[in-house]
Amino acid sequence: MKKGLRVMTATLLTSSLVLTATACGSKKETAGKEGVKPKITFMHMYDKNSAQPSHQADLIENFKQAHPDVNFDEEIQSHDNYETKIKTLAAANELPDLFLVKPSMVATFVENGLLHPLNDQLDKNSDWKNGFSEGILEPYTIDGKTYGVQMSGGPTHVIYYNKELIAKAGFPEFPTTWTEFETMIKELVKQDITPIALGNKGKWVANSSYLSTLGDRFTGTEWFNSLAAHEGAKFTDPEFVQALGALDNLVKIGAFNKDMNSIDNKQQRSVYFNGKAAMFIEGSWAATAVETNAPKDIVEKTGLAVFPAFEGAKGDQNSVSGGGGWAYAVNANVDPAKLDDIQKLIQSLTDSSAAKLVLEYGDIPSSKVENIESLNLSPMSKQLIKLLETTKYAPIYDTRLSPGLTESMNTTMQEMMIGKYTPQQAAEIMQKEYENEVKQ
Amino acid sequence: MNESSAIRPRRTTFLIYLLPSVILFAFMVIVPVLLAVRYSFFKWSGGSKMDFIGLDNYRVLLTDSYFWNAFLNNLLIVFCSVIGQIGIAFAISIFLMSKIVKLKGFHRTVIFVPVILSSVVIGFLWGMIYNQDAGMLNWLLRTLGLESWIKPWLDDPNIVMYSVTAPIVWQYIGFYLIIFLAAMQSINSEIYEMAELDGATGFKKMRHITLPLLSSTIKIAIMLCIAGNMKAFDSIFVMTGGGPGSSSTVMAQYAYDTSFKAYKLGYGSAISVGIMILSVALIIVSRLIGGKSRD
Repeated sequence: MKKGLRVMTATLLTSSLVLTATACGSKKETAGKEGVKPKITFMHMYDKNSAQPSHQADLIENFKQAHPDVNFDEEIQSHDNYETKIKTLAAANELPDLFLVKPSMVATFVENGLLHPLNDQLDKNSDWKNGFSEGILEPYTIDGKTYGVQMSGGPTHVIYYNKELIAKAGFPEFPTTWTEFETMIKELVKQDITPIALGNKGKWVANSSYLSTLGDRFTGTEWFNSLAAHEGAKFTDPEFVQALGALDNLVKIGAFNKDMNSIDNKQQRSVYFNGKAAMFIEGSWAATAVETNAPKDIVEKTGLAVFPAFEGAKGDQNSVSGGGGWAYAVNANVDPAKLDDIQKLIQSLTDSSAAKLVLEYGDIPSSKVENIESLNLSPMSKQLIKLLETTKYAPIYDTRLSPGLTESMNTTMQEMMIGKYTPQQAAEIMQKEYENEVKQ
Repeated sequence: MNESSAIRPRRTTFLIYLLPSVILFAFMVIVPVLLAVRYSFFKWSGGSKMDFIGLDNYRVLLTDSYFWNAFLNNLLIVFCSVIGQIGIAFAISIFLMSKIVKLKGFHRTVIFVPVILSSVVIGFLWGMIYNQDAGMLNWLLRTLGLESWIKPWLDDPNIVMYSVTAPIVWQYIGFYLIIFLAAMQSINSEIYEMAELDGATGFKKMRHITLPLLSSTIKIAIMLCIAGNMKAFDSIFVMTGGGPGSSSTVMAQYAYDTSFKAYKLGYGSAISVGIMILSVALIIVSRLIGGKSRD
């Protein structure tokens, strides 16, 4: 009997091993069949059945219908899961053929040889290549090689303001200088209205939607390029410290709600939607949320603006942090036979005809669109496009700088905003982290 | 001893039976731990490029003020939990053992419910309780006329740690309660009867019978409490994300942020190994303080 047991255990164990082995084997076999095109593995976050429809999901569906011969092995994740999963897959060197990256990932991924440069693919169709808004592919370009192609990339800084509330504070028009802006905030504080609703629990809001723009206004884009290329610019440069100081001063004059560090960016919108705050500052992506979630009267009262000009600051005073965001990227180890179809797919998701759909969904596309007037756009999108005609893009710090530095900046800024550090000290901490990185 | 007449499987059979769980344990616990130790000697950003840098990560870790600040936060949670969770659980279990309390099963269930809730749910729940405008806590204070006590519970760096510790303490009382109840029920009731004959009353029974007979259980509970709270993470992460600044960052979150937000997986592994060493050290210290027991 004992022997019987042993035999049984042994059989069970071996058979389970064999089963797993064959399961692994069968996957590979289907990929190599003749006649049928190899399956393109594709990981993204655009679920066509999701409650919140997206232009990318529609575009992917369109492509599938137009090219029934192209086979996909799709994996669709929610946004937050996607980010975790793609990083895990990258760590294991098991990336799919086609996936999405953020600019901050590009440098790390390229360093590890995970990304395929897309210059050849872009060169195949000059209409596509030249149709992109200027500089939009810059965040994905390293040493002249472009590793990512973006579908939409609006500004990360837009002020959504309640026209009625600021009119009550004595400003029928949005202020045009920073001094006026601060006066308005002080007036709002007096009237017991939260001037700016801020939800910085995620720590990126202050960096992405505030400092990236503030910093550029003070330092100019040259400073950032020099910083990114390690050519001498420092966080402790007086201009950058001034930018931190401007943010710090907003905290000091009571511009933000008291619970700014324990609510997130979605909750900051709710405060505004409830009419308790006169403004909130987030990227262009929030425009859709305002239109769909805010009460009608708030939507009607909402105006869009960007930070007003600083008197005597060095940078361009119409700059707004923007561009950058998720972009399509291709695995370095991709089967070259798949590249043609992948190129067609990426093009169909990002070219100017795709851009029209992006606009209709209320996003800002990365490709230029002609005849905008002929499109059926929501009033908010029209306002946004009009606003962007007068501005120019500046780099977004947290998508361009390394993840390590970004993390350090985010935390340090939050500590500055609770009064733990002065702007000067905060800049010194950022600089120290920056120098550590250069050294390694 | 081996040659008793009872039917006993042979040693090899034992081993084969053990094998599946040993293999599972090895792959889910031992291998990852060893890998983490290995990674901690590298500068590694998650890809195929790994630079061996020896003990550099640990050298940085020793002087990393964020890490030690996080460790202090963990210590605070451990301290509050040992007092709060184990103390309160012990008190409640004594009440539940006494004859006065009615509906014992109901109380036990209600106190145990938070244990089975996901920490993320707990985090959201308490996040709402602490909410500035709509939160239950501030509402309660306002109704009681204690407006001056209203604080930005999760935004004041000086009190945020206490605010996030309260839910952790609250959540796990039920867990220790069940352990204590089980241990108390296994105490022979004859001992209590004898004591009552000798004139021992409620408190004396507790002090001289329950406590000594439960000492080994309490030691285990303290150990579980330390081990559990050294890796506290999820509910705090949901409530504050470690903020404001790094005021409520615990070690596990620092390891997480370093590994998966800042992409420093090598240093993140070093932090994890640090957490492991500190936890084991703390448990050893607690055993030493607990006294040289006979077990």
